[in-house]
Amino acid sequence: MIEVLSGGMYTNIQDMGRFGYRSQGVPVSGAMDQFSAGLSNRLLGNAEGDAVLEITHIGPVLRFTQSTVIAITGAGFSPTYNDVEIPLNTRVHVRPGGVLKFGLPGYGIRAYLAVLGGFQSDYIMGSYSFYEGVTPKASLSSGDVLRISEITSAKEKTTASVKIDRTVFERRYLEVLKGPEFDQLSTSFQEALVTTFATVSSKSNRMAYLLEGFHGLTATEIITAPVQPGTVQLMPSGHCAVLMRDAQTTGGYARVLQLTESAINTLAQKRAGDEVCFKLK
Amino acid sequence: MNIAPSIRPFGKHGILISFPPEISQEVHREVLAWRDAVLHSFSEKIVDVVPAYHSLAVFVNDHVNVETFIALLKDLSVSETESAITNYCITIPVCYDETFGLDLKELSEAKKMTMEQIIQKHTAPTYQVYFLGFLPGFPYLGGLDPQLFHPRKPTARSQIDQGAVAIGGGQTGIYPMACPGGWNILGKTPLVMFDPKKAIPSLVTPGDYIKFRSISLKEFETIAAKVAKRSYNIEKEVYRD
Repeated sequence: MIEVLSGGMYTNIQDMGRFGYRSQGVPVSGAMDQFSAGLSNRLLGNAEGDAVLEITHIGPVLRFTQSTVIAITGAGFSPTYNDVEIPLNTRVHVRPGGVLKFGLPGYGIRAYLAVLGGFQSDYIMGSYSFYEGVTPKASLSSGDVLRISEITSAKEKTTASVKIDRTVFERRYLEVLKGPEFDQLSTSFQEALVTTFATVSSKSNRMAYLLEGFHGLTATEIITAPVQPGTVQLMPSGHCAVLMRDAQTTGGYARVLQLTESAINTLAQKRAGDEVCFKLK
Repeated sequence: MNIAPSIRPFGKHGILISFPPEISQEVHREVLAWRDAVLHSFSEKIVDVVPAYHSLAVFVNDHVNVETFIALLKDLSVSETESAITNYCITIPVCYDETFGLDLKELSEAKKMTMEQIIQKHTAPTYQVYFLGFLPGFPYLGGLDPQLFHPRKPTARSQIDQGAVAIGGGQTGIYPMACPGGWNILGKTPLVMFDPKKAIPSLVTPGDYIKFRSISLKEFETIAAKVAKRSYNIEKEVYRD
């Protein structure tokens, strides 16, 4: 097991998402940066759908009560194990009593911690992903205890690490496709939408990233219709809301663009004040 | 009626099927007919089908090519009469006592109606469940009496209780879980609208109908106790036009 000594800012358990319940108004959820989350599992030889810990801005402090192997990917935190720095994107062996800390991220904002065999939290409606109203908790707090798989000696012996191209965290362009209401915008609005550098607002979270700086752009509301992670809504206020993994299933704002999967992962690592620009694929 | 919808890609694994943009039972019947036909013909390719007022999104498995699938959809024969999904009319007991109906008095003053008249007008219609969205299990309902239309509150409450029954603009709805909100609260149901432990977590599904039934505070407590013990029998019957 793993004891949570400090919960961090918004630490939660995620897998690749909860599918099959969107018609009941249930968001898909899943890891915000699915590339990094997937990488942490691959380093350990886990299954793609195994649950990982998503760490946001300020990491948790964790104490292991059993031996296992971990891998941390994603944002550039400076994790320490028993106060000794450990590398990212590498398998690390941990023992009972060992304490893992994260520090602050130098680049990106979301890191992923995988453990051998995955986190064994409540599996509800086909997913481990935390979501308020579906799982008992939305994020971890001190005192929580996390169940993990028992280690098998055969797997424990191998080591592995990967080199990550850090420039992916500095990408400013977000690859997009046209959304259902793109053609309803004037040509000048369409042009401005995919050439403006917009600023990530501090009001950004797992549900949506708010982008500001599309001066003069606006769109009328639509009759409430389906949306999905990556849908870019242009609001009458002139801001864009880019829906993320915990997005509602339907929405009433014009769906002007749709991010690619890779662009969602890129945006998920941005922090307030960062600049991004949509780029039509 | 049979309108040919527009069928377009919506993201890498999605297809959007859209009818003329209007909120009407006629258009919505087409939406549900397409939902039923898609689920019936391609269940093994489908991850999610999300209906709304005049459109539905179909999300397919990773290995399905969206362009190829759109060609299949364009050849699909859709008939309104062959729905395999049974629709129910579900009675939702609501306590309109001012303990829960926090905005009932204000609404009665604004509408120049007695609170009893408001309750009467709110419990009279059979509401259609168009779709679920906004929150898990939150029903978008059609059929609110236009005399009860009322703008959202200027400042949203930081918390609306689970089970709150409210009016926002031309819509009425039930909050399946506590959340912030600006709708005018008329009362509260002791029923659980969304239970993640159930195989079908939402109490109502798109295409169902609901009726509100006014209950006393005492009845609210009785039903709430039964709901907690999972011994409350939901009042529901098969809906026929």
